[in-house]
Amino acid sequence: MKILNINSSSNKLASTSASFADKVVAQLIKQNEGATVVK
Amino acid sequence: MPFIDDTILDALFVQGERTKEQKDTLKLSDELVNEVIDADVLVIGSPIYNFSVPASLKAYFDLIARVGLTFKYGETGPIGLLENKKAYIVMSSGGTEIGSDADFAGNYIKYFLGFIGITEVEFVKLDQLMFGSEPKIEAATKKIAEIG
Repeated sequence: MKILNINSSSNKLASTSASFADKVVAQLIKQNEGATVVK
Repeated sequence: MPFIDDTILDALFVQGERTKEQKDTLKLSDELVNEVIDADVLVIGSPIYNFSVPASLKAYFDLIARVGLTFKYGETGPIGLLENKKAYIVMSSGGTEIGSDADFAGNYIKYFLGFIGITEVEFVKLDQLMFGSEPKIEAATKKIAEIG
């Protein structure tokens, strides 16, 4: 599984969505052996 | 993330072969399209700014909407070309309720992804955080833990 992580903004107002998107990515990697982040 | 301008439009809608300059203009768009094509799962983290998506996300979507690459026109309308992909949309907001009439972000993202063929979409909602963030964070954390 190849995961593309798209965070739409990098300012402090976007920190919540960005950090939880990272948690989703971490969960996908944890649950899917061999999963990689392509970006 | 660059916004669509006349130079990009001219490169996108060229008749015949593209010039080297036009190919160079579309280099970033090509790279972004290839990333999406290559991926099995998209994770999109986006806040809601004044009821809609950040301009950078709109600019990104404009660059990956490419005729013949991510969608095409059929007899009855556009057809998405990106198949067998799933997207997680992680959205946060201060006051806007996701899915309400004031939300021009969640529905837009979902519609756009469907337009390019990504119809399996799941939301992780962290909305209206200014009215109490703990329950929302707890629910989002639980939902993420259930992702397989």
